[in-house]
Formats: sequence, structure tokens, C-alpha cells
Amino acid sequence: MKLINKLIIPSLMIIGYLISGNVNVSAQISIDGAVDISQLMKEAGATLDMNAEDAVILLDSERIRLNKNSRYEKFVHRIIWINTEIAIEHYGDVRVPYDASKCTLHVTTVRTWRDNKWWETGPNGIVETLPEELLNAYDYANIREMMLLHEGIELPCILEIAYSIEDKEAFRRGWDGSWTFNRDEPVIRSWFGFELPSSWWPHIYEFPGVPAPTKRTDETLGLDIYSWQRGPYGAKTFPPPTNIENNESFIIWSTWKDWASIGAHIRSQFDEAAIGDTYLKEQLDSLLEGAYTDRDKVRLIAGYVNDKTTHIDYDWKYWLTSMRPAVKTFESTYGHTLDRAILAGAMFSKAGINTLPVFLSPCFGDININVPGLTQLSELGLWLSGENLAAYYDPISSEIKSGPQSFFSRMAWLAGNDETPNIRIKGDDKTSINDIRIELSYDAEKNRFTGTGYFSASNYFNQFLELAGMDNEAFEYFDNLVSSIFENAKLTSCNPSEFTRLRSIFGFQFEIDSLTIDKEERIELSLGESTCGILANLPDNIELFHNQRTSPMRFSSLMRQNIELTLNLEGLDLIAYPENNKIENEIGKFSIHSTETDKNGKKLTVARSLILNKTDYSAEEWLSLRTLLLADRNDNNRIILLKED
Amino acid sequence: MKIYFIIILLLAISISASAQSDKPLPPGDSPPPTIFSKIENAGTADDYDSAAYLIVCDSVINRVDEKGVSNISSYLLYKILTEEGCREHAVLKWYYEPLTNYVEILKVNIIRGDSLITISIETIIDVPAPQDAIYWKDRYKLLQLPRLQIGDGVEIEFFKKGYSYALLNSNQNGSDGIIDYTPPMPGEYFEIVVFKETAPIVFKKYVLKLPADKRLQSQVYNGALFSSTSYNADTTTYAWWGKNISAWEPEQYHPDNTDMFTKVVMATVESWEAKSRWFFDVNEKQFEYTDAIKEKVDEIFATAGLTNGTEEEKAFELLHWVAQNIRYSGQTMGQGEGFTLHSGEMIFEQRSGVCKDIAGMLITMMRAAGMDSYGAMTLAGARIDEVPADQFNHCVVALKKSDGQFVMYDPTWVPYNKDIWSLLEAEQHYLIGSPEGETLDNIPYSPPEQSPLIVSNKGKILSDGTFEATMELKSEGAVDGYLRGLLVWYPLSQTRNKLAQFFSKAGEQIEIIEFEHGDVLDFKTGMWWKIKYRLPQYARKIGETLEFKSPMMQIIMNNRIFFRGAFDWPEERNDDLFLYYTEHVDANETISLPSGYKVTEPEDSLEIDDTYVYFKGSCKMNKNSFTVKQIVDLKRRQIPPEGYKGFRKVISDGTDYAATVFKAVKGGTK
Repeated sequence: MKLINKLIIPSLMIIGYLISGNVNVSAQISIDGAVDISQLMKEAGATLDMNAEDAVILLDSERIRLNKNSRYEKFVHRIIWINTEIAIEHYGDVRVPYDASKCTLHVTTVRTWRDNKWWETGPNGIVETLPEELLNAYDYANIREMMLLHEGIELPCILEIAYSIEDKEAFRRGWDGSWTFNRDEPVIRSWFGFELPSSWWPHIYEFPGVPAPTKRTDETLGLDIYSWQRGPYGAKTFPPPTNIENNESFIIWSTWKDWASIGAHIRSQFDEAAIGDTYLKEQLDSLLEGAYTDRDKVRLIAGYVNDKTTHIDYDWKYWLTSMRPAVKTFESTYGHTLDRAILAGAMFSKAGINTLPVFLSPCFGDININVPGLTQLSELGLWLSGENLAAYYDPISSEIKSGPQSFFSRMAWLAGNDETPNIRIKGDDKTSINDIRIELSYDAEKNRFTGTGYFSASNYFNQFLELAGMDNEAFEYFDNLVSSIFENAKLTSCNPSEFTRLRSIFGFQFEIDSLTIDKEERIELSLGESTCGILANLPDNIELFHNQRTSPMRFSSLMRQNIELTLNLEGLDLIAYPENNKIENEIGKFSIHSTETDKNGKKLTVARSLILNKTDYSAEEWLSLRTLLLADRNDNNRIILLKED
Repeated sequence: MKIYFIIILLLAISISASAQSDKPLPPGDSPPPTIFSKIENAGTADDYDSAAYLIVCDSVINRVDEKGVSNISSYLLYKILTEEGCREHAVLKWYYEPLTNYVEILKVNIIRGDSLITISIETIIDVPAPQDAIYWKDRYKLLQLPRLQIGDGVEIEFFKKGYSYALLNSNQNGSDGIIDYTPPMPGEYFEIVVFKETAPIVFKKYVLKLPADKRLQSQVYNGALFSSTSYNADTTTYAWWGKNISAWEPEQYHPDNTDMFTKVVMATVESWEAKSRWFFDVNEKQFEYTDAIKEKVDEIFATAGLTNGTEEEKAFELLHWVAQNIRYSGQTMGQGEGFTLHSGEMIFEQRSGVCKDIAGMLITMMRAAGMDSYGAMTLAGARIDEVPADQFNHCVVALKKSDGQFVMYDPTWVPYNKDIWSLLEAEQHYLIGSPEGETLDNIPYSPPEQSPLIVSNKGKILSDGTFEATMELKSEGAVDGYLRGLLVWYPLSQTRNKLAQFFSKAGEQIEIIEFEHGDVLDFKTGMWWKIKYRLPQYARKIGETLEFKSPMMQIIMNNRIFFRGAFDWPEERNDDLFLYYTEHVDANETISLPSGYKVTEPEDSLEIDDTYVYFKGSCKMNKNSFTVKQIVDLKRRQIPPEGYKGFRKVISDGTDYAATVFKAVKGGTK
């Protein structure tokens, strides 16, 4: 029995044989002898127009093994057919990050199939490097990127790579991770294996549609072995999803018992690290002299951390197992996102601000919370609360951001505080409204316009913290707003009428004294867009010029924006203004309505509105959405031409 | 006996020093500065335009030995002026290349007020360098400093031995495997020292001590420096120094800094011819071809129908085979790495290398085809000055013709480009390695006509204002590579979206209807595109008038991929402007208007001819159509600061002209 166990073929090999059926030994065979590559090529040729592909991933496999002694191992094996220059750039030279002080990297093969033979990379093609981002971070210089350089590439050809990374000794407290089936290229066969001690109970979430795993037990190793296989299937949608949740097919796994256990771990580590020393305390006391409110304090501390430390742009999650003390980050003058959060956290706490580490989903809407772990919560910040304060600290920019907007419609988890991640402010049953009404008059003597305005913003559009402060925050905000609506406009004053975290109402006054006048002496007024409206708050991966997209879109909330201009025409002749127009489709509505009135003097009123009725849009709905967004952006719906009478 | 002598000598020096210090200073004299007074008196950020830090002293003494080995003692003294300066100097770094040099850090101190804080150099770590595309296993030494404060001084002493990558014949180093850092040209020394940094410099000095029997050629370029020469029986000492050198604030699109900043170029080698012969000798054995290479060469000719072709035709085919099939990714070959070209046999198997290896592959294949080919060195992105120092960063190929003339080929810079020598490298100097010895030569100036972008945009404005058109783009020279790039730089599935992105300069509502293009691998024909597109609601309808801009000019003048001058150039500029290539844009647009519409007052044409750039825009209403013509010539690839103002004005006026709003009136009257 033991002999049989010793001879157990690695699960990858079994799957490989299952995939390939009768393996022809004279064909292109993978390094482990388990995969008939020519068979995969046949499948690719039968299912894809190969000339239209940059590359095809013939085999994409990863095996995660968590040993009884808590050592972690990862085995990676990929076989890729490449066809274009851009594919060479993506797959020709592979960077493999790992911690050289705690892990061992073993390369099984880096080779290229060309001219009916394999070209194996020699020792000079396996090069240890330091990640560029860490060159100025002495304390992180244990991290390496091993370069695996393919030799013998000629288009088209097949690349095979196989390597493993294993912990030298156990040092991790818990594990979680994911496997995404979708890649930048079509995949013929994808295989994911997950092995862990039989006594452990894994949390695994499989997106509906992922085939059920096979499970077996390796008695010798004492490991339960789960494996999933899928393929062939198409490439990842475009533009790439911002969150794993938007992928067509994925698996999330974790060995954390529950959210409480991972939360307790993070909090204990964080609280232990987020402690300052006497010097830092003196610095803080000096910094906060003259700070009257908690809001002032957090702004000063955020600025201080930004001034005193450089942000190191490198994946911080690895360091969750062992957090660097705040004092060390301060002393070294640099920190990745987590380290900066710890340093800022130490100072916020010392200043009497209630500080909690918070983990956020990068996209709007729900995520699956059955699997405790940070795979889907990739953004780290600090939640700050105090007297008249509820704010979010972003360690990357070291800025204080509006609490509501940062959390709006996003899954957030206050580690050690929340039972599970949750959406604190839901957007799919709320409408974010931005309403701007402006009255404008022309002063012929001074060649300028003067205007008064009403501004209302609610929910996601309400940029509360940007407006709040002891300095000139509101003035700067509205100065920016009026110059976005009218070129060269300058704010003269503003005043709040209502000011809460979910709704702000302000009045404002402004002037435009530098007018755009064409050769025919026509004054051009363009009714532009709000700095906090729909176009300013599009999800990152929306570009109006995109002719096609295949990925879905998710907005923070239902949205409505109105901008209305009443122009007093005294001293002016009206040459042209936007024509009335209405576009209504299955996802929303755009309208523009212009009216000339003589009531109380000759006036022109232009009202433009855009309404989005949904938060989730399929890729097929892009063109309808684009139509509405473009209508709002179109000059025909913005420009008014006038002449002095 | 010796020890007594030393004690007495030290005592005498001490008494003498003590006696001197007791003497009053003559009026106007200051006591010699100390490290503390140097830092204290160096100034603050206010004195240096808010600079993050100040280089108080940068002093180098290089003792070159008989073998030409550099032994460099460096002394650096910084003053930290801002928090940014504190952050920038938190980790000190020393780069080195283990096969050609080593670095030893001798001393690091922090000067804080009147305290000297000695930093333990025991904590220095040695790590692999970040590497990308060139994987020669270079390394860094890193030292974490304690948190610095504004006003701190940082004093560093280190020693470096060897040279920076150059040709290295492995036989010249010890057979026991111990590297003695002998330079590739044994006994010879060269250096290029630039006297400018991104921080202000109070004092910088470079001292060179050469054995008395070595002769030196040197020259200061791009400005003036203090200098001195002295000698004793064993050594000649040369020194160059500068004082109060302002900081360089890099501007976009500048040439290599050796083109702009005060520098000393020095070399002991007697002439370019000697360097040429040496380059030939050290590489000659690398170009032996194998049966497999010969077979591939014959196969390439057979496939192209050139078995009986001319030498020029065959060289063209080989060049493009190498350019397309030897990718840029350089592994080290261990000792000998640097400018030693990897053997043709090695690169033919690996199908990758850096420029010298790619050039070596072409030389080898040309020789397999019976051609008389040689390696050559050049400096991409800057000029080479007369002193025969190794002012090279790039390797290319020279083919000797039967009349003794050379034709230059650069396989590294012409992947997806139909040229044999990229016009991004026009006017560049080069040195061919030959047994006879060549002198420095240069590639001729490339006039704009050699890199044309020919644009034809034919379309119509519909009555609802929609613009529908087909744009044809044709190219040659440097522009050819950019039009091919549209197809190879982005995923195949995203070609339409990328075109939409470029065309969105005319309007975000762009719709790419269909497109065709030339064969990206056909290097005998200039690349071309034919793109059918539409812009809904493009023309603005005002009463009976249609107002519109030229879509063609919007697209061309606002995309750097089509027009190299497209950029929002700032008003002021100090650096040379480096565009890499000249360009000729010849763009013609024909727009059919809705029935009965005519452009009543076509904009006056604009023609501006500056030394470095030419623009002409004109338009005309014909019987049934409106035509726009635009010609732009970027006349030089490098524009000096004094030419920038004129350049900017033409680009700015041209861009404004391109944004002209044309008015078409129904019936043709206002």
C-alpha cells in the first residue's frame, strides 16, 4: 500500500493523461510526460482561429499544497502557443516573485518548442533580480523576482514553463487565495489543485459553472487533494475586470476558520505594530499644536506621514503574516501600503482618534463572503472616527477621503470589528443626485458674466470631506466646479445651506471675465459638466471611445444629474443654443430642453439631464450606455452662441 | 629605528600644527573649513530653488595602473535640504558589475550640527540589481541610514576598481579564475565625466593619475571647467573641477545628457583607427558560421526567391530575418560580457540577445552568404565627440561593398520597419571595426521627405451633421515603423479600439466601421492603412449653418504616433529637444457637404517657415466639395534651446489652425 502511495502520480499527471487520452510518445510531450501538447494544439486549432490570436494557453495549471507542518508549496506549469510580438513580450521572459529568505524556488523547466525540438534554457537564462520597486527599500530586499528567460523563440512556437516555490520553514499563520480560469488569452486546458491536511476543513467557493472538483486522499502525506479542470474556453473579457467577481469563472479558497479568526490575527498584529515611541510622540505633539478638531488632526497626521515616508508600490498582502512596527517605518522613511497604514494608525490612535484597519473590495456591489480571506478585499485603509469625524485614510496617497464615498456600495470589512464584510451604504436602492442650477447675467460694460448657483449633491456624488475643513476647502471645491462648467469661470463666494455626509446643498457666486469670442464676435458659452456628476464618476475601465467591450460594468448607485442654466439675455442677442432632444433607452434617459422666455425680461433656459436607471450593465448594454454618456458630452448639447446687442 | 622616526615626525607635525593654529589669521582669511562648517555654511533649500539636497563635494581620484585598471577613490558630501532629501537618501546604493568591477564602501557618516554620527557599514547588504531586457547579473550594495533630518550632512567614502562594461577578453584575466579587472583594451583607459546632476553642486572634482609613460587625449565639451596638469617621475596628474553648478531639471524629450552638459572626455588610445582595429580583433572569431546557419541563410534566400539575387537584396532579407527573429533579451555569457559580441552560433540557438548579439547574428549570416560584413559601434540618442573614448551604447553592422564603401545595417532598431537603418538614428556617429582600422564616421542627415506620412481623408457631412469618411495613411522611413506598430503593439483583439482611441481626437463619438492595412511583414512596401469611420453629430448645426473642424487635422495634429511634433509644448525650455527623426506630413482632405451648402469664408491659409519646422495649412471650397490641405515638415531631429521658441510657435500656430471652425452655409451666402 505504501509503495502504491509513493507511486501515486502527481495529480497533474493524472489529469494530463485524462485530458490527452492515448498519449503518442512521438508527439510533443510536456516536461512531466503527462500532457500531449500536439493533442492540445489540435484542440486549439479546432476551436479557434489561431491567426486571430496573439497566443493560446494550451495548459494552465497550478497546485497549492499546504503541508501538515504548515509549510506552503506552489507548483506552476504552463504551456503556451505564441503567435505575435506582443505575446513574446508577455510570455517570453517570465518574472516570478518570491521571498528568497523564507522560500525556495525550484525551476523544473523553461523551454521552447521550435523546429520540432525543445530548446532548454541554460543557467544564464534563470536570473535572480530585485523588484525595481524595492530598490530603495532595504528592509524589503529579501523579495526577489526570478527571471525565467525563454530561448529559441521564433514565431509561432510553444513555450513551456514549470517551477515550484516552497517555504523553507513554516511561517504563515493562514492561507487564502484564488484561481481564475480566465486569462488574457483563450485557454484549452486549465487545471487547479488544492491539497491540505485531511484534518483541516477548507473553505472553497466555486463560481457557478465551475465543474465540481474531484477529491481523493493521499494517505502517506495525509492530504486531501481537490482538483478542478476546465477547458477549452475564451479569453478574459475586455476591458479586464477590476475584481475577481467579474470574471466568468473562478475559485476562492481559504484555510482561515472564519472571519473572526483572520480578523483577530490581523488586529493583534496591527495593534502590536501600531505603537509609536517617545520621539514619535514628541513629533505628534508638536504637529498637533493648534489643531482644534479631530478633522484637523487627521489631516495633519496624514500630511505628516506623506511628508516623512515614501510609499513603496508593491503588493503588501505578503507582509500580513509579520507586520513591521510603526517606529521602524518612520525610521526607515519608507513603507508599503500596510506599513504606512500602521505608522499612520499609531499616530491617529495616539491623537485620540478611533482607528481601525479596513479592507475594501475594489469594485462596487456584493462579493461572496463564504470564504474568509482577503482575496477579494484588495484595498487597505484606515477607518477613522472621532468627534464629528468619520473618515477614510488611504495609505497610498496618505490622504483623508470622504467616508461615505469611499465606502459607497463597496464591500468593506473592519478587521476585528465586523463579523463579515458588508456594504455599509448600499447604492443599488439609492439614487445619487447632482443638481446644479445657475443664473447668469451679462455685464456689457465690464465684458463679463456674473452668476449665482445652487448646488445639491447626494449619496455617492456628495464629496463631503473634500468640502469640509478649516481652510479654504469649500471655496477651492466650488472654484473647481464652476471652472469645469464654464471655461475661465472664477468663484467669488460660496455658502452651505445643508451639509451632511449624505447630502450637501450650497449656494455660490462666480464671474467669467475672460470670454471666448470668435472672429464674428460671437461669445461662446459652453455649459460643461460637474466635477462630481456622472461623467466624473465613471468606473475606471470605461472609456467613451471604446467601440466594443465584452466585460460588464458596475456603477456605485443609481444616478441622476441635472444642470440648468437660466441666462439673462439683457444686452445680448441669442445666436444659437442646444436644440431640444431626448434619448430614452432601456437603461436610462438623456434630455436637453431649451426655452426662451420673456417673463421678467428676456431669458434663455437650458436644462440638461442624464439618468441611469441601473447599477449593473452587461457588455451588450455598452452601446446604449455610451449613447447616453456621449449625448451629455456632445458640444451640440452644450454650446450657446451670443452676441452683444 | 623606523618607529622612533615616525613618532618624532608625528610629534613635529603636531607641534607645527599647534603652532600654526595659535597664529592669528591675516585679515580677510578664514580658518580652513571643517566638515561641520562645510555643512553649516552650505546654505538651505531657499538658496537652491527648493532643491531636495545639495552636493557639497563630489571628489574622485582615479589612479590608473599600467594595465589600465582604474582604482577610484570617491568622496561625497551631501547636505539634506528638505524632507524629500531625507527620503531620497534613506537608503544609499552602490551599483556594480561583478565581472568588471567591484565596490568597497569605506566610510559613511552623518553630520548633525556639531556631531559626527558614524554609520556601521557592517549592515550593508549585497543584492541583485533590478533587471529588464539585459540580464547580466549586475548587483547593488545597499545601506539603510538612520532617519535623516533637514540640515544633516551625509559623508561617504568608497573605492571602486575596474571599469564599466566594455570589451573583455576572458584570456586577459587570470587563468585561476581571479578577476584582475584589466580593461578590454589592456593598458588603455577612457572616461566621460559629466559635471551636472539633478541636484545643485557646490564643488565637483575629477582627478586622474596616469603612469608617466601613458599619454592622454582629453577635451572639455559643452561649457568650461577649471583644470590643471602636473607630474612627477612616476605619474602625470590631471584634474578638472567645477563650482556652483546648478541642478538639472529634466524636460521631456531631451537627448542623452552628454549632448548637453559640461563634460570631460578622455582616452589614452591613440586614435579611432586603433580602437577600430582592436574592436575587429576581439570579435572576429565570434562570426564563424555553422552548417545550420548556412542552411538557414540558403533557406531564407530560397523562400524570398533570391538564390541568385544581388548582394543588396540578400542583405535586405537577412537583415529583416534577424530583426524579426532575434528578440531583445540579453543573457550574460559570463566573463567577456560587455561589448564582446556573442557568437553567431550561440545567438542562432538562443534567438535572443542585446544589440551587439543581434548585430553579431547578422554579421555571421552575411558572412555565411559570402558577404564582407563587420561589427560597428555607435551612440544611439547622442553625438560622439572627437576624443577616441568609448562613447558607445549600441552595436550595428557594416557591409563592405566591392568598391570599398560601407553600407550600415541595424537589425536591433528595425523590427517591424522597412528600413535597413532606422531613421531614428540619422546623423549618428559610428565606428566600424576593421583590420585596417577605420575612423569615426556618421550617418547623413535624413530630410523630412524620407519619413513621410501621406494622408488622404475623403468624407461627407450628412444633413444631420454626421461625418462619414475613409482615411488612408501611407508611410515610409521612420513613420513606417509607427504605422506597423499600430498592429503589433496592441493585442489583435483591440486593434479597433486602439484606432478608435487615436481617432477620438476628432470626437469621442468615433465609430470605426472597418479597416484594412498592409502586410506588417512585407518590408518591401511602405505600411498603409485604410480606415472607414464615422463621427455622429460631428458638425454643429446653427440655423442654416453647419460648423465643423477638419477631422483630419484634429486626428493628425493631436496624435504623436502620426505627427512627432504633437505635444503641448511648454513655453520655456532649457534642454535640447530631441525628436529622434524628421518627418514630412502631407495631408489632404476632401469633404462633401450636404446639398446646397458651401463654406463661405474659408480660413486664410497659414504658412510658416522656421529653421526647424514648416507648416502650411490651406483650404478651398470647390464646386461640390471642401478641401483642406496640410503640410508639416519637422526638419531636424534635434533642436537646440535657441531654436525652441520658433519651433514651439509653429507647432502652436499649426495646432490652432488645425482647430479652425469652418462654416458652411446653405446657399453659400451668409
